[in-house]
Amino acid sequence: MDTVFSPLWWDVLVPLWFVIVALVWVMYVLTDGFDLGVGILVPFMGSDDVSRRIAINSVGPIWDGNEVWFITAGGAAYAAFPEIYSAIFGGLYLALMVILFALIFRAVGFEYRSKRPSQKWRNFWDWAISISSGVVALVLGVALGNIVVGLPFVKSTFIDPQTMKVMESAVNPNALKGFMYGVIDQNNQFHPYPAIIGFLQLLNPFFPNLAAGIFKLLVGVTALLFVILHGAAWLMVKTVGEHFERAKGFVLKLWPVTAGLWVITTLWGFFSVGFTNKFNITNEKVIQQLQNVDYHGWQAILDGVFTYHDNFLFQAPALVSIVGWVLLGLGLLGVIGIFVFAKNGNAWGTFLSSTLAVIGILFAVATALFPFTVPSIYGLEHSMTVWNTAASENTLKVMTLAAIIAVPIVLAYTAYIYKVFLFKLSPEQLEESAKKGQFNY
Amino acid sequence: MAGELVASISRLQFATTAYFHFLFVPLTLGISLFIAILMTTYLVTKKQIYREMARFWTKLFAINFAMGVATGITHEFEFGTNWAVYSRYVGDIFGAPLAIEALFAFFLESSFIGMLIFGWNRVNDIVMTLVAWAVAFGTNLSALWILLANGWMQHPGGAILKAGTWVGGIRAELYDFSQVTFSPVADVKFMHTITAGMIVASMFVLGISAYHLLRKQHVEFFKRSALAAAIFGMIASVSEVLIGDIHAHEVAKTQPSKLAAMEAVVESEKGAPILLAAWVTKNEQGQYEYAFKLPLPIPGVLSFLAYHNFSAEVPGLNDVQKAMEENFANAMKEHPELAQVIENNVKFNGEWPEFNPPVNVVYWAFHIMVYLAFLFVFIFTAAFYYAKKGVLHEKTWILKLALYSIPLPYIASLLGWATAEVGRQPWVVYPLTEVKHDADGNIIWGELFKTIPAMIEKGGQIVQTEVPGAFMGLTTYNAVTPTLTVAEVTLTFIGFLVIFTTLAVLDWWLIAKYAKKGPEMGEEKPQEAY
Repeated sequence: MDTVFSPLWWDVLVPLWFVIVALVWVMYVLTDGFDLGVGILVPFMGSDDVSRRIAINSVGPIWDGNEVWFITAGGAAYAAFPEIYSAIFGGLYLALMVILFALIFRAVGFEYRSKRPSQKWRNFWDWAISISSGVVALVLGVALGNIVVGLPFVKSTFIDPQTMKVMESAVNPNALKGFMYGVIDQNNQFHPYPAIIGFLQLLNPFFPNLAAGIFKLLVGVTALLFVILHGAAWLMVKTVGEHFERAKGFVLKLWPVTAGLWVITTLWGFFSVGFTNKFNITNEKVIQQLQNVDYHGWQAILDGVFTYHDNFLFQAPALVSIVGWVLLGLGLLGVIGIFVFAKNGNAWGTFLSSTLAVIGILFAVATALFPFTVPSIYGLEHSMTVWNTAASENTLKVMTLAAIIAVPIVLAYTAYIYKVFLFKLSPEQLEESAKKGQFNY
Repeated sequence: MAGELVASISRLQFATTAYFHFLFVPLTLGISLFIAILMTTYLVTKKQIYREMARFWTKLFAINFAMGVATGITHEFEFGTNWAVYSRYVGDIFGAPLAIEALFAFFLESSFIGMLIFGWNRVNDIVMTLVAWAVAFGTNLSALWILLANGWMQHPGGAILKAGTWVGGIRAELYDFSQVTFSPVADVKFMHTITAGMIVASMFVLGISAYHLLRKQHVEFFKRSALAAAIFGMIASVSEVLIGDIHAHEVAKTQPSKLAAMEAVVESEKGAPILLAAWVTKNEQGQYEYAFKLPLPIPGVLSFLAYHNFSAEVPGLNDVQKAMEENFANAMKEHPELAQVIENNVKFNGEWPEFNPPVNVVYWAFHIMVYLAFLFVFIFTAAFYYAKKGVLHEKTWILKLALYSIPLPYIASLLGWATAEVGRQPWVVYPLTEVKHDADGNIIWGELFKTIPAMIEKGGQIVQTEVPGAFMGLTTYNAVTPTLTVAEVTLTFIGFLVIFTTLAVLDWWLIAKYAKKGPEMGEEKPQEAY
């Protein structure tokens, strides 16, 4: 690493920000996750208006604040890892646009839905909320799967601009375009492809190979199911009587397929998307590094050599593997808890279990990736790690200070607002509340 | 060129989404403050009517806010999706204010907006007042960080150029954060924008009040609303004229091409007059000339407004083009090791770009905005005068004028952004510039750029040195995402246009519906939805 870029503080701040960005994403999934799930379930809560209003009002006052975690996650990724931000957002253009349009529909759907008494109007927005919430969860899930598998990009500095050949080492030190998405053929010729292909490749089960292709789609579906479970658990917390029973029914019916898919996906990931598969077993550099015993250890982590199941198979430093297994264990505990508590009708137990499941599983994925952020399917030298994408020391210092001051304040008032709106919803309660001059959706 | 077309459509798309965003943001900025003041007044005076007013305006605010959020998220995406090269080159600096905005401001406003809408009669009125202040503070703080980011693009201080990122290229990194936060360009821009928000909100409240007063319904309620809006609007519009002047002065110092376009100055001139109307064309030699002009017959007014000196030279379009080319060529000659940066970031297809923005667009956007500002001062002052005398509800002409003027502050805001952003072209990041005058008031054309620190490779070693601000410049056409194709951007552009237009119409239709319905006075009645 070149001396300009590795002062001591920077070495500490970069992994710290990997953890912080992961944490903000997890917070997003935990908070907006349940209102996405509730959103999906709105039309399924019942065909009557009041049941659907109960679902919407269960997240009415808080969904907007929850969604800010998404903005913050994006902002934190932008500030702390600008290279990743520009590579991902630019490369996955259409996928992000799909998420964006879905978020827009959801936001206005909540607000407009109850503004007119017309049943047709309300029905339209109920489905708009449901479908757009589902799209957000599914596309984000597929995106996560794709990131774990690796994306098809190369550093543009490795491409000879005249012949478009992929070179052994960087040829154009002044290139400003960062990364390019495309295919490398047998002759090492690079063919860039437009974002529309990039978008289709995200969903292509044969890309980069069948095993990895199925894995990334499994991640998407599993994510969608977990989000619905998380939403149903929140509905259990917020409702009583028949609506509580309906929410409980959602959890119990969805649990076997969700838990089953999660186990399959996790095992599938271990056996199919491991390190050597990802970087192609013939990649000599990787094999050399793996064979070189001295190279194992923190230096390898610093250089970004290990990832995915290597992190779990004690080929990386033991601490990383232990942390990974503990997180996976917590995830399993949460998944089991969801069913056990739901069966006993314990709403808070169910919701906290699904919270634990989300935390355990997502942090396990983050641990699996570390120190990679977005691997390239074309090999190590093209992949993004925390080290080669991070912001400067000054920026990270400013951001750390900002986070230390802001996050406790944010958590404090979020907790207060949740507390105010933690009452149970029912048709009687909604009527009562309107009489008191309170607003509801 | 496909690349050019992608950049052009991306620009159109960004402009469209930004404009839609700013159709909803200024009202949010102003009316959140207005509601907080109403609640405070209620707490102090204990008059129930102020609480009713706050509740009523909150309802309209909530409908407006949904669109503000929906259109706002778009931008955080677009910086990366459409302007990936930009995000790479300056993301180290530009990302921080965005992230800080989310952490400190957006959380605050978005978390408490739910409470402001749904908290009535659930928590006590003191808490509701604090909530209203939290929302007002959050929205305006949000504007501050966003405008610091935007202001930095106009005058990119506090950065250092560094070689050796993961792609082996060069990027700008944060060097001095205080130059980002205390940039005079950004700070005055912030004042200018939030004051514009207050004007939009005041006209909104005054206009809707006028609607009801013209129909003689809820007279007591809307007389008070109108008086409050008139006071709020009068203070805001008078301040805006003064702040606008300071803002233009900052532009004159840091963005000569924008100033030349704003005032349609063709040839640099000492003691320049101000033009009340003008149209500029380009002749066959590529030189700008007037198709017609109507100067105010007092010499030196423009020189004074721009540089606080009646005889100072004001930069003209033709000189700006020449001087920019010369300054850039010199910077490349002085620092051959960085010459590639200018080749990549500034030149397009190996040629110098047009360094001036589309003059007539900028000139008229700016001038219509200024003329509107004076109209606002008049409307609010007149409304205040009659409201204070207690006869506003009888003065049909001013009520009608206020009602039909509701769109005008919005238009003025949009024109202001056109001045700022079209006026910035061809740059997405303006090179770090400072216009300096010698003792005689002549511009020192050879030294347009400030110096910036840089870490560059010299003789195999990385050394810190100083280079001209020219190297911070990045033109829009070079900032676009390289993998984008015309088809994709066209698709999303049309998508945004259709969806935002539909939703905006729907939004205003709902706002109009609830505005016309008026407040539910007296005892709290059961409400079906709200």
